Parts: sequence; structure tokens; C-alpha cells
Amino acid sequence: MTDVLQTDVLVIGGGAAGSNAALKAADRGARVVMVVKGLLGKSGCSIFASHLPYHDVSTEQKARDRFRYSVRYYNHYLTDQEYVKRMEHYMRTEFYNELERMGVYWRRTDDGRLLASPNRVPVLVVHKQGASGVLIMDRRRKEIRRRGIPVFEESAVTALLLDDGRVVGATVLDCRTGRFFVVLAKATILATGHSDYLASRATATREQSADGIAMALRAGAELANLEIQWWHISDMLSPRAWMRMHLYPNPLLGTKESSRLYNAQGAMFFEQVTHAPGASAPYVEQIRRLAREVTAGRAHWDGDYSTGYDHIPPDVIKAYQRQAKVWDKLGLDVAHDRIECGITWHMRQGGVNVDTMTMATTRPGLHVAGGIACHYLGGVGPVSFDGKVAGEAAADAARSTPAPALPGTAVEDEQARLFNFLKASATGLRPIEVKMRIRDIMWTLGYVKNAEKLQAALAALRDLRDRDVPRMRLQSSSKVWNTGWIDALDACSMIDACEATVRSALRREESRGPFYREDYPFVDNENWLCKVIVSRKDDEWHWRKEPYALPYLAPEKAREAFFDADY
Amino acid sequence: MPITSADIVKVRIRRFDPSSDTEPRYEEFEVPYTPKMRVLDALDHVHEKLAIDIGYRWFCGVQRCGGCAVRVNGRELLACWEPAERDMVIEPLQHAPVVRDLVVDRGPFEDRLARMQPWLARRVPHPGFPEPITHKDMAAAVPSFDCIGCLACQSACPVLDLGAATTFAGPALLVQFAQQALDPRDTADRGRIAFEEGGIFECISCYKCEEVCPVEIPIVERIIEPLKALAYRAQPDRARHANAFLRLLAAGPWIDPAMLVLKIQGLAAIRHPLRALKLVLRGKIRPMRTLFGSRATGAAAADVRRLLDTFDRRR
Amino acid sequence: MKLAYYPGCSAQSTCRELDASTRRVAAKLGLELVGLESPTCTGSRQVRAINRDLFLALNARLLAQAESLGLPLMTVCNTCTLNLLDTEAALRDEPETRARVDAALDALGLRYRGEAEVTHFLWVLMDKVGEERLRRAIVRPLTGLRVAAFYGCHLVRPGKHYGNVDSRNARSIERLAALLGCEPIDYTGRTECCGFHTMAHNERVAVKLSGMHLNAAKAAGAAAIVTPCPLCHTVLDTLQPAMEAATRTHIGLPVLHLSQLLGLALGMGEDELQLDRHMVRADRLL
Repeated sequence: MTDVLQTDVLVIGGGAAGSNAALKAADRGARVVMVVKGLLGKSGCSIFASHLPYHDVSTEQKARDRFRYSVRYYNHYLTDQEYVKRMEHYMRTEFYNELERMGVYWRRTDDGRLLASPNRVPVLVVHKQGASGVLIMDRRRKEIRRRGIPVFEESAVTALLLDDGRVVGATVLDCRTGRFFVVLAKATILATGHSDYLASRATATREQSADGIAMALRAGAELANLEIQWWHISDMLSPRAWMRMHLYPNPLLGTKESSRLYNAQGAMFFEQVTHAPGASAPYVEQIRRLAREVTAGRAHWDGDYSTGYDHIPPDVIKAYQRQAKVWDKLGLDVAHDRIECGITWHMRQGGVNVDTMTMATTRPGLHVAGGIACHYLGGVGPVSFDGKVAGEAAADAARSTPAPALPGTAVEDEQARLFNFLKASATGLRPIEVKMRIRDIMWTLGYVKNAEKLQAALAALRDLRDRDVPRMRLQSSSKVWNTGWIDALDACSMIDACEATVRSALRREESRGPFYREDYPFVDNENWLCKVIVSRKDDEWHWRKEPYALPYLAPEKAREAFFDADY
Repeated sequence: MPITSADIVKVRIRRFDPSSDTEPRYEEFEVPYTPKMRVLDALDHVHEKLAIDIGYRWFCGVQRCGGCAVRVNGRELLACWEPAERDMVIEPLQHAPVVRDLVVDRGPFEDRLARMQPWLARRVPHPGFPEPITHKDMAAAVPSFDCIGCLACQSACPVLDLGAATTFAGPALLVQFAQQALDPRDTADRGRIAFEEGGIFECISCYKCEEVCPVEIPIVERIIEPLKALAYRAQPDRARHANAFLRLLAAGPWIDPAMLVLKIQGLAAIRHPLRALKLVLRGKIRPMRTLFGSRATGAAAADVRRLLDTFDRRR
Repeated sequence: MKLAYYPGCSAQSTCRELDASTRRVAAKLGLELVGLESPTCTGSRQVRAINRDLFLALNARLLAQAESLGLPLMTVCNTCTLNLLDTEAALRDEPETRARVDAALDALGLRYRGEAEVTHFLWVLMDKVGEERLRRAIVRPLTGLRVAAFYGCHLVRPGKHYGNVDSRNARSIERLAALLGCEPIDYTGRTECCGFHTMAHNERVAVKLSGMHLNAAKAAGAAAIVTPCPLCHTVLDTLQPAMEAATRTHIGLPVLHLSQLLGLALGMGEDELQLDRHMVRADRLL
């Protein structure tokens, strides 16, 4: 007999969005259960938060700059502008205050001023640039503990449970013990993030295998803009573990400078302060400029270009920048040496299609919060706002929802699917090998895409799905922390999410922001200022377009060459 | 000799699955060296390239999540942060139950930490933002903010070898606790908690915690000693050792260890009469001097008393 | 060579043999030891924790007296060494603290200039006397004596003072022992903690930890322990019977001060070195 837990609100995911969703739902009196695949506030990408945009709107001009930055440079108009207004209001009035009350210390000067970078888009940090996310998430983690909200950690949600088209909870596998159980919930919030380890070089943390995207897809929810995939270019090439070590191109605290990128010949090809405003959210402009270097043979996607802070006084870097330690650790000198970089698959602008007023999805009973949604790029602040909206809406919805009943066969089917992996298979790949191949396919697809490459990726994924996924072979049948077992579950999620991503990319016939198709090398606001929405029903893929409303800000040009656009 | 790309790294991993193994075993793997290779790269190679299902924990790979701390050749380190060595015996952290292979159960640590109320306590929270505080105000707490909760120091702490026989919470808990206790905004009775839940005076000042801290927190000087001061200020009478020491210092410029023990332990000090007798016979202690020695005079003693008057305001 | 000499509390009470043997060995090596004008305790671990300013002032006072002699300040105790080094660092790095301490010293008619050199007897031997002079001074090589070095903590950690990343790499005592003809033993306890600093209120930690280290040394074939610290010595020697009782083993390892081991090789008698003052008999070693 499967253990069943009953709750009002189930929160899946333990980053900035999930943690705030749990707290806000509990504030509204809901019983909350959290399930986190890693460790609450330690896994996921929220701990990477470095510098947080400070929403200084003290003048009209600053307010306009701020909004323009969010809509044009950060989301390339693929966002709900009314949402942006609401979110920015939250950032101004609630986000910083609330975290400070929890004990987060926003770096001050010795005489007590907030230490904000003096750039066009001011940022704040927690005691050192690069350490903000760690402390923010640690405070949330402890606040959840203080409130006594039950958290199941290192436990993977394996499927959303549906009853008559409504999401009524989820099945859970405790990876530490192999215990399988069910959480029945009146409302479920998916908050599994916007960063997944889907390419050979990726910024995502180990456990992020797009489970949320895959489960939403399987539950029949719509997914939008999955193809709008960002890349970092100033992450370290080696050691491999440090491919997530981002040597920030953003404004640096305590200085008006930012880092510079140099090609193989030592010529500088990117610097945020010179290349603003397009570089206000620098990663998009960075990779466009890197693409030119690669085309000209002056850099590779994985190496032969470098970054450094050697034009900035080293004491400033050491005083405010956690990343300066990297140089020390490798025996390099931050005042002189540069570090070789490679590109990494970073965050996804798109995700589950959502109503931004409530964070409800197209599937009743299912809310999403944070980067897994499609409405905004993310960041610890905005996803915290999403968490608040989703948590409150889910708690309200739970009040008028009767306790769901256990959907019998679905639970048994899921249990059978999971435990079948443990049965020995004579031939076939190890699950980790399948994962590595999926990542290789997406890495090969890379930044520069065209129809042919996308079709090839799709065929390769289909091949893996049909031939190798059904025959994955585990090394042991242990239920205790069986790495192979978790890998097998990951592989199933990854292949679904990657296929949905490639299919979305095939549909969008333009280039925009971080998305580049060399067969459509222009920004096409006339036809593609819209969501590309995919869904799957009975193994059939469907897609549709949905245009964005532009109530406050619209692009000036209907169409322009991708490499000429400033956003 | 530095390792080069032509080299092979030998990795011996301690493996243990409590659901099937009675004893841990060591399994050896050969891993080709890659540029700037970290310990985690070697573990990943075993998992990803050799397709071995070792149990190991990591999330971020860049010294933020604190998930990958292990022991390599007997020393605690963050696998993602430290360079791979030519020969590595890799084992799980100590002082925590093993879940499987290199993965330890963090639960007991988290439960005990919760008892120390690791959240900012305020009688009246500041209503707006930003609260008027300066970086100088926060200077005492800032080192503790670097903590990533990896538990390397907890594993390295020899006092915790005593298990249930010590009340010492261990360095990792105390660093986490210091995030509130040394924060001037906090209003809870942290000195009492440091005593009752932290066992703060059981620290032996060996600096092993500091030596393994991957984020280089000066744990003894900037965390444990300030917490001791806090505990002492909260309940001076309970800090018997420190108290006795101060009183002896006031009496003379040198500390007589026998007197110290006598002052701390009282009559219990002579619960080993044979040992005491032998100590006397070997001239290690001089009972007449200890019991009937007079208050010291001279320049040194006078200076000590003046310094005490200056700095020990309780007197 | 002249040195300011600071023996500390233990070497003047429980470990007077350390003071006596240090003075004799120094004289034999031509080191002239000059006492400070009016020395006091450095505050051990207790004062430094509960009253940092007082601790710093006590140590700054000692440093100022050494400065007025114009000589390097030599200690024979790990914890005293660390206390003095920590004080130097704090007064160098913290201007506001420095101002408070300076004011207190000023009231005593003293001034700390920040120039004192703090050193330990072990470093004096290895760096100032040097291996060559030591080798020449050996009269009676301690050939075949299997000694296990017990460094203790405060001469090797925190690493910022001692220029190391991994304190296990310390080798100077073994180098010295080998030079004297001994056979240094490798074992797990070399740079571990004896547990002295909580011994006065809780012996169990010291008994447990040091019991483990001594048993490891014994298992590795040690015939004696040598330590540069009287605090370690007190635990390893005085509590050895308790460790034997706790671990139900016979340890019986004599514990020598560095000065005593050296003194033996310099041809001094057991009486001169006061080997009979130890709890575990050390006078039948050779």
C-alpha cells in the first residue's frame, strides 16, 4: 500500500520561487508540503545569484530606463508588460525589505549607505558580489524550517497526478531510501527553475534535468518559447567542474568598470560599459559578438578566447568580488592573468504557459512559479514575486477545492514504471550514458541553428528515445541512493524537454535575443512578436502562436537584421 | 612533480550500501588527468565515463552549494574546489551517518542547528528599507556569512570524535549560529544558547576546522572566540575555566595550573589521589605554594591589575 | 647570539624541567638568554576569548619589553607563541584596536613599535643555530632511538602564521631528530591536538584524543615522544595512566621536551636535564 500524504498546497522545487511560494501559501493559512530534488536552498540555480538589480525609480527617467531594460533588453519583448509593472512594484516595496528582515545583509558602506554599483542599471549584493544567492537562499531555508513546513529533500517528483484533467498532486521517490509515496494536494505549484543541465556544457546544477518541463508536458500543459535559450560566454573552460564559474560581464561593485573579453589574438571584443545599452543584459550581446569572432576564426565556442579583470584595480576586485578567489586558487594573478572561457547552455526564457495574474497553467490545479514559467526571464527577485503570486493563488484556490481522491491506476502505473528500472536488463546503455548523449546532441546543435541542424537533432533524439531509453541498464538494484536509478529518471525528463525545445525552435522562423537561426537572420516583429506554444497529446505534437500585447513599450522597427539589433 | 595531461589519476573510493553491504569496501579506478582537474572531475569521470553508479553529492561545482565535501587522503575538502592528486583515497565526511558511498546524512546537523534558533530574532523588526546599519556594525558577523554549510569543519573537529560524550555542537553549527549571534540586529539570548546548545567552552582550539574551511573563515578567532565572549558575558559564573583564569591572573602575573584546576573543579580535583601524590613527588605541583602562596607583588603584577582595571569593566 | 627568553607559566611550574633544560642546552650552544623585565602570562586560550583587548594588551606589553631589549623573543610553548603572533597580526591589521592597546600601554609607560620578532626554540635551533652547528655540537648521537614527534596545534596552525596549507606537512622536528641520530617515526597523531585547553574542566577529551595518538605512535614503533610544547607534554605525560586505563592498553611512552632530547645528544646527564621529573619514567631511555 502506497503512503499517501494529504495537503492543501504542494510545492515542487526548493529555489527562490518555490521557497517563497511555500512561505506565502503558509502565510495564507494553507497546509504546505515541499518536495525538493536536491537540498532546499542549496540545489538549483538560485544560489548563483550574484548582483540583484536595484529598482531605483526615484526619477521618471530612472523608472523608464528600468522598465525598458526589463522588457527590451532582458526579454526582447517576449513578456507580459503588465506583469513587469507588478513585479517591479514588488521589487521596490517588498523584496529587499523582507529578506533584510530575515537577516540578509545587503552590503553597506562603512558609513551606512547601500553599496550599489554606479552603473546605469544599479545592482545590490549580499556582503560580496557572487555570494548573494547563497545567503538569500540560506535565510529562506531557515525561515521554512522555523515555520515547521514539511520538506522532503533529495526526493524526486516523478509525475503529476491527474484526476479527470485536474492535477491533484504528485508521486514522489525518496532518492535516499527508495521510498515511493504520493502527495495529494488541492493545488500544486511547479517551481523547478529555468536552468537545466541539457547540454554538455551547462550552467545548471547536477540535479536539474528539466523534470518540471517534462512533467507539465506529460500532464498536457502548454509550453511556450522553450527555444529562447540563453548562453553564457564568460564561464570557465577548465577545470570541467568550473564550467559554471561565471566571470561576470555585469557591472562590478565598487567600480564603474566591467570585465572584458578578448579573442585568440588578444583583441578585446566585448565590454559591457562600452557596449551598453544593448549590453545591459550582457549575455545576449556577448554571444552575438562572440559569434562574429568564431566565424572569423578568432575564437572557438569552447576556448581560444578569454576574459579578465586586469584593467581594474585588483584591490577593488578582491574587496567586492568573490570570483577573484578563482585566480588565487589556480595560482594566477587577477591583476595580470586572463582566463580561457567556453560557452554554456544557461537559462531558458520560456517555459510553462501561464496566466501571470495567478500563475495558473492551462491545466486546472497546476500553478507554476519562477523560471519554469514562460512569462519572464527570471532572477531571484522576479521569481520570488512569482512564488508569492503562485503561493497566494494556490492557497486561495485550495480553500474552495475539496480534498482530492487517490487516482488509483495512475499511481500504480507510475510505481511500476519506476521500479521496472531496477529489473536487470541484459543489454543497453547505462542511464548516465543516455544522459551524456542527450547533452551531446544539444551541444552539437549549439547557438547557431538552422532547419537542417534542428531536424538532425530531432532525429538523434527520436533515435535515443526509441532505441536506448527503453533498454537502460542499471548497475545495481539497490534502492538506497542509486545514482543509476536517478539518472534513468533524469534521462526520461531530459529527452522530453529537449524534443519540445527543438520542435519549438523549428517553429520560430526568426532570430531574437539569445535565439539565432542563420536561415532566418533577422528580428521579425511583424510575425514573431509572439509566443511559440507547443503541447503533446497522445504522442501527437501540437503548436500555435499567440501574440503579445504591447501596452507600454513596442519595438521601433518591424524587421531588422539580427546582428544590427541593439536588443 | 606537477601532474600533466599524460598522467593517470588513481582514485580509491570508499563504497558502502547499507542495504546490502556489511562492511565498507574500497574500489579503485584510473582516471586520465585533464587540465586543472578538480577532485570532482575525477568523481564525475568515474560516474559519467566509466558509468559506475557511485553515490556522491554535488550540485553547483563552484563552491556555493557545499554539497560535495569529502575526505581525500584523510583531509576534508570540497571536491569541486581542490585539485586532483595523483593518488586519492576518497571517503565520506566523519561525524555524520553515511547514506551511501560518499553521501552523508545531513539530518542530525540540521536538527541540532534548528535547536539553536538560526534565524534573526528581533523584538521590533525595522519597518522600512534600508535599515540604518553600517558595514562596521556588521563587521563581526560578516565572516560567518561566507559559510556554505559544507560540514568539512564538522568532520575535521576532533572533539566530535567523542560522540555523545561531548556537549560540543561542532564548528559548522557554531559558524551557522554566529550568523545571528554576532549580528548586532539580533536580540535573542545567544550567549545562553551558545552555552546550552553549543557547548561552546568544549572547543579545544586546535584550529583543524579553520585548516579545512574551503571559504577560509577564521573560525577560531572570528567565530568561536567571539561566541565564547558572548557566552561569558551572558553567564559569567558558568564559564568556570575562563573565570578561574581571570581571577588567578588578577592575583599574580603567572598562572599556577594546579591552582587553576583547584579553582575550577573544587574538591573534585583530588578525585585521583594517587595521581596527585605522584604529581607532588615529581615536583609537578607544589601544594604548599598553591594553597598558601600570597598575592604577587612587583611590577608585572601591578601592570596586570592596571590592565584588568582598564579592560575588564565588570571588576 | 643573544635572545630575549620567555618561558611562560608551565615551564615555571608543572614543567620546570623544560626551563632548566632549555637554559642548559642554550648555554652549550652559545645562545645567551636574556629575561624580560617583568613578564606575565600571555593569557592562554581563556583571556583571549573572553576579553580580547586585555589579551592583546598583555601580549603587546611582552612584545614591547622584548623590543626594548632589541632582541628576538624566544618562547618554549606553542600557545604562547601563537598568542604573541596573533597579537602582532591584530595590532598590525586593526588600527582601532591598536589605538586602544597603545593607550593602555602608554599608561604603563610602555610603547609597542610593531618590530618585535617572535620565535620558538624549535625555530631558533633550525633557522638561527642551523643544522651544521647542531651537527658539530653532537657528542652522543642518539643512534636508533625511535622517537615520534608530537607537534601539537599552535606551532603549525593556523596556517596563516606558519606559511602552510596542510599542517601535516610539518617536518622540522623529524629533521632535528634525524640530525641527532634518532629514527623518526611516522604516525597519524603528529600534528593532532592533545586536548590540553579543556583539560582543566573536562579531562575526557584530552584522555580520549591523546590516548589515540599515543597508541598510534606506539603501534608505529615509537620508544619516546618528543614535543615542543609544555602543554602537550602535560597531557601526554601526566594523563598517560588515565589513557592506559581508558584504552585498556599499556602505553608507557616517555615524553621528552625538545630541549631534553637535544640535551641528551649534546652529552648532558639525565640529572642536568631533570628527566626524573616526568610521570612516565624517561630516565632509562638510553
